[in-house]
Amino acid sequence: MTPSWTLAAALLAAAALSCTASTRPPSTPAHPSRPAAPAAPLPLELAAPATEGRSTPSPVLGILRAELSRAKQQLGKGTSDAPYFVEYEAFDTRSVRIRAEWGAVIDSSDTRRRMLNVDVRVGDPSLDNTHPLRAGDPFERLQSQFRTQATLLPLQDDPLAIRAAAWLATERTWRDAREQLIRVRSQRAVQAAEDDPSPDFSVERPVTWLDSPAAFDLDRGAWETRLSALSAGFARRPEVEHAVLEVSVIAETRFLITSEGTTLQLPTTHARLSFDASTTAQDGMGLHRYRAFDARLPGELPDDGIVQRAIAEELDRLLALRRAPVAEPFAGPVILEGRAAAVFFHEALGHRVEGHRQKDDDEGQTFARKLGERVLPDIIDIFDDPRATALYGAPLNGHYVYDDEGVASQRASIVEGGVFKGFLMSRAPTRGFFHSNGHARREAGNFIVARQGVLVVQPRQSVSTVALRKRFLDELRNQRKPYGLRFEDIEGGYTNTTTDGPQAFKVLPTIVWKVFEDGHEELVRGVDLEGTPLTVLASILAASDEYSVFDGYCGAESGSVPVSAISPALLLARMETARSEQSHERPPLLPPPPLSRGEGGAR
Amino acid sequence: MKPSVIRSALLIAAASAATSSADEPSPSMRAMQDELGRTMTLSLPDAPKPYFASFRVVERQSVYATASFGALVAGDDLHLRKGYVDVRVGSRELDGSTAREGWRDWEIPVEAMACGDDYDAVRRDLWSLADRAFKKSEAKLARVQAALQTQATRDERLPEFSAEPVTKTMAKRASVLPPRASVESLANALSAEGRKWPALQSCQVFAFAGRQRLQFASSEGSTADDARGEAWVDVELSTTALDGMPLSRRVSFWAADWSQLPAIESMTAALGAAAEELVKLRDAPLLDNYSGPVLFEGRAAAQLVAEILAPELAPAPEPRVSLQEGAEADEGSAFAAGLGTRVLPAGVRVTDDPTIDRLGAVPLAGAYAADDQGVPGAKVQLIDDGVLLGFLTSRAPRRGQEHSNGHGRASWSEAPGVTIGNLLLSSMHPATPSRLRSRLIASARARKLAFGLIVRELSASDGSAWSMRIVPSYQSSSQALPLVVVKVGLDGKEVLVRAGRFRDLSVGALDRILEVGAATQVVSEITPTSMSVGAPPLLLEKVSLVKPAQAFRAPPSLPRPGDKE
Repeated sequence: MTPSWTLAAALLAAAALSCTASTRPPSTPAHPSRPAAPAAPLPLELAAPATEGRSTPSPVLGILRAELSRAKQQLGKGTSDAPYFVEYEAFDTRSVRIRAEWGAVIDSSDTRRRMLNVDVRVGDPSLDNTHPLRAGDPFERLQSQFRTQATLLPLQDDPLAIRAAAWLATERTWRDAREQLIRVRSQRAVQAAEDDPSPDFSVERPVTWLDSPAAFDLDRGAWETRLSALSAGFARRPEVEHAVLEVSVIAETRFLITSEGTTLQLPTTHARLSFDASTTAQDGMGLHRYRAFDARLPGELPDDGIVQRAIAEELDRLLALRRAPVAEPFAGPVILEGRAAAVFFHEALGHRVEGHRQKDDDEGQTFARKLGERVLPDIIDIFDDPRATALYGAPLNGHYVYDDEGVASQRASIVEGGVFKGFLMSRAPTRGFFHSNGHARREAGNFIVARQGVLVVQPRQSVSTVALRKRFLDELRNQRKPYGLRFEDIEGGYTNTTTDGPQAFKVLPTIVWKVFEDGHEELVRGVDLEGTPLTVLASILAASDEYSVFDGYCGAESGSVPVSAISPALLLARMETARSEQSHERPPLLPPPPLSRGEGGAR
Repeated sequence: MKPSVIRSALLIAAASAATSSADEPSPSMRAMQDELGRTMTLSLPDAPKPYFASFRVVERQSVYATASFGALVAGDDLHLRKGYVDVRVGSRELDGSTAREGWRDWEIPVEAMACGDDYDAVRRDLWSLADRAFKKSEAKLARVQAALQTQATRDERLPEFSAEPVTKTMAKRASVLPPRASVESLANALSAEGRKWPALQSCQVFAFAGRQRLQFASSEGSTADDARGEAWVDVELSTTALDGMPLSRRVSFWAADWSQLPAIESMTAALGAAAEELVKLRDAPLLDNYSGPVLFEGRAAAQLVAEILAPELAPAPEPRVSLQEGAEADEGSAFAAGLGTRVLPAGVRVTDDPTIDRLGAVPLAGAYAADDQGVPGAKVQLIDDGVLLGFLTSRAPRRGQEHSNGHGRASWSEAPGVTIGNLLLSSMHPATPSRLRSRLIASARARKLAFGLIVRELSASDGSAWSMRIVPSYQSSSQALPLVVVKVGLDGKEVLVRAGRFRDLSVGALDRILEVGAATQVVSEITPTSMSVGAPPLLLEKVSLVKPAQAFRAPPSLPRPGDKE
C-alpha cells in the first residue's frame, strides 16, 4: 500500500546546514525586491570523476572474491541453472551513538558490524529472476521482494570464517533465484504480453575503485561529558517533557565485487549532532522540535556555543508552538520555503521517477508516458546528481561515488524547462532507457532499486525572497483569500506510488505561518500538506534565489538510504492542507520535580 | 488446599550481609521515593485517584561477543537503564489491570533512562513515566467500567491486585565484568573448534557477561535493591542432512559470574560432543511414523518440562473483563480447575525456587531476591505427589491464591507477568538408569513394537536450535521438534535416527509418566528473563512422532570452503 515513504522525526529530520536564513521566521529581507531574473548558478560542489582507485585493497575483498569465483564457476555448472551474474556487497560499519538527557547519559555504544548482501541472477539479461511479477498474487510478490537478507560477516579477515558465511548466503540466494525464475517463466507463459519489453539487466562496464577504508577518531568519554553538560540545561524549561541530545557517528566502507569484474572499496563517514525536544499543547497535541548538525567527521561538528544557541532557539520555538492556534483546513496560495519545497519534490516527483516503477504493473506510473511532455512551469529544471558533495560548503547526505550495482553516480536529468526528460535508473532497463545512470541503491539487507541521491530543483528564473513574498501577497489579493500559508520547516513526508491507493503525497510541516494580506504573520500548528503530484506541480508560480537543503534518510523498498534534496523557496498558486493527526492526551498533570541542583521545576 | 510457600530468607540474608553500605539509599532510590509521594497526588476531575504506585528501575551493564568459526562477528559493551512505572487507580478490587486490550497492552510505561545514578535525571524521567502510566490506568479503568455495564462477568469476583506485607529486600551479590577482550577471546577460541568438522555449516558462539541491578520502591513502603550478575556462553551448531533436513543444536553454559563459567576445556569438550552427534545425525536414517513409549533423557527431559509443563504452572491472570472485540477466550491453564487434584502421576513433585542459585554443582539462572513487583522470591511447592497445590503468582490474585508468591517477573522491557524462576521436577521414587531402559523396552514389547525411542535433545519448530520460552496458553501443544532420537531395539541395541515432529505433544502426555529418573539435567535461558528448568529422565508411556510433512530444500551443492582454499 505504501511502498515509499520518507521517514520522519529522528531519521529524516533535517540539518541546519546552509539554510538558516530561509528557515527562520521573517525578519530583515535578505535581498532588495527585484523582478524575476535568470537564476544565479547553483554552487554545488561535485566529487572528482571516479576513474582510478588509489588505495590498497582490504583483505576482505580478496577473500570474498575467492568465494564469488567458486560460486560463479561451480554452482549449476554446465546447466541452465548456473548463475550468469553474482554480486557481493559487504557493508563494514562502525557506529558510535551517545544520548544524554537532563544532564546524564542515557546510552552510549560503539559497535562494528559487517553485513553481506548476495545477489544472484539466473536466466539471462533479457529475462531473469528479478523480473517483476505482475499483479495477481500479492503474497508471491511480497515473498519475492522480501527474500533478500543480509548475512553477518566476521569482522576479522579470516578466510574460512568469511567464506563460510558467504558460501551459505550464496547457496540460499541461488536457490531462491532459481525458484523465482520458474515463477517468472510460468507467469509469462500464461499471461498476455507485457507493455514494456525491456530486458531485466543492462550491460555496464566493470570498474575498479579502491579508496581508503572509512575511519574516524572519537573520544567517547569526552563526548559523554559534553552531551551531559549540554543536556543539563533542558531541565530549566518546565514545559519540556522530553529532550534528548544525541551524537551519532558512522563510518561505513562498502566492498562490492561482481562476477563481471567490478571491484570497489567505497568509504563514507557521517557525523550528526542532534537535539529532539517535545511537549504537549493544552489540547493534547504532541509537539516537537528537532535540529541536527551534520558533518563528515565528529571533529567538524559545531562547538558548544553554536549548539547551545540552536537548542535555545528550538526550545523557544517549541514553546511558541505550544501557544499557537490550530490551523483550519485550507486551499489557496502557499509559500514552501526551501527545505519544505525540497521534501515536497522528493515526495511528489522524486519517488515517481524511480526507473523500476515504470515497468511494474502495480505502480501508478505517473510519468511513464510523459517523456517530452510539459509537467512543470518552464522555469524549472530538476535533476538528481549524487556526485554533489556539498552546497555552500556544507556536506550533502545523499552523495555517493558508485551506486550499489557498481555504476558511477551520474547526473540524471528529470525535468528541463518544465519538460519531462527521464528517470533515475538502476541496471533494470525500462522503455527507452537501456542503461543505468548510477541510482541503484539499498540499505544492507535489502534488494536494489533505483532511488534518489541528491535531488536538485533549479529554477531558470528566480526572484529575491522579498519579491517572492510580494508576489505571494498579490496572489492572495487576486484569489480574494484573507490569508495564505508559509511553510517554513518540515519533519518529513510520505507518498503512495502504487495503484492500490491514491496517487497522493503528504508532507508533514512543523513550522507554518499564516500570512495575512497586510503581510503580518501568525504561527499556527497541526496542519499537513497534501495533494496529487501533477496538479500541484503545475501550480508553481515562482522560485526564490536562495537554496535550502533537506538532508535525511529515505525509506522505501530497498531500505533506508541517505538522501539530500535541494530547492529554493517556491510560490504555488494553490495547495491543500488538512488537519494533522493528533492525540488528545492532557499535558503532564504535575509540574516537573524540583531540581536538587536548585533550578527550575516545581517547588 | 493452599500451595506451600516457603519464604526462605536464606539467600536474601546472606546477600545482605555482603553489602557494605546497605543503609544508604542510592540517588536513584531517593529519587524514586521522593517522586512516589507526588505521583500519589495525581488526579483528574471526577476520576478515581491512585491507590498504589511503584517505580522499578533496572540497570544493566554487559559485555558480549559473537564469533563464528574463530572470527569475531559482533561485540559491544552496553550500559543501559530502564524505568517502569505502575500507577493503579480505583481500588484493589477493581483497577482494570487484568483486562486484556490487544495492541494497547503493548503501550507499557517503560523507557530508557539516564544511567549513572543522577538524582535529577532519574526523577525527571519518573515524573514523565508516572504521568503517562496514571493517564493510561485512568483510561483503561474507564473502559473496563464501561464494559462491565454491558458484559456478563464471572460470578466469582477476584480482586485485581493483592495486598502484600511491606518488605525491604536487599541483595547485592558481587559480580565483576570481564574485559571485553576476554569475552571476545573466549568466543573466538570456542567457535574456532567448529572448523574441525567440515560438515558443520555454522558454529556460532555468543559469549555474554552482565550485571543487573533492580531497584524498586512502592507507595506502600516496600523497597527492593537486588543486584546480581550472569555469564552466558551459547554455542549454536548447524548442518543439513542429505535430504535437506535442517539440523541445529545448542550447547549453553550459565553462571552467576564470568569467573564461575566452566573451564574452556570443558566447554570445548561439550561442543565437540554436540558436533560429533550432529554430524552423525546428518547421515542418520529418517524415522517412520511411531507411537509408543519414549524416554526423554539428558537435556530433552528438562526441555520437555519447559515446553509443556512450565506454561501450565505460570498462567496469565484471569481477566475481569475482555476489552478485545472478537478475541478468542483465553483457555488459561490446562490445570485451571485442578487445584487439589492429581495432575501428574503419584510420586512426582514440582517446585519453583528462586531462593537457590545451585542444584548440587549446577548453577541455576532463575535466582532472585525480589521479583519485579518488589515481592521477595519464594520457594513454591506446585505439585506434590502428583497433586496440584497451586500456581506461580504475581500480585494478580487467582482463585484460591490471593497472594503473590514472588513470581511477578518482567523481561527487560515489559510489564511484570507470571514467570518461572527455577522450576524443578523430581520424583519421590526415582528409577535407576537400567530400570528406565528396561521399562522402555518392556513397554515397547508390550505394544508389540520392534523398538522404543529415546529423545535426548529437542530443536525449535523451524529446525533451528531450541530455546526456552513461555508458551502462550492458547498454544496447547509443543511445537518443538525431536532432534537427537535413538531407536532402542528389544535387544537393547541403539540406532541414531532423525525424526520429523511430535504429534500433539501437550501436558496430557505427562499423565502417563511410567518412570522418573534421578539425575536432573538443567536448561537455562537469559531471555526473556533469566530462568532454569530442571528435570530427571522421564519415561512416557505413549508419544507419537510423525515423518516430516514437506520435502526439504536441497542441501548446499558446494562443500564448505576449507582452511586451505
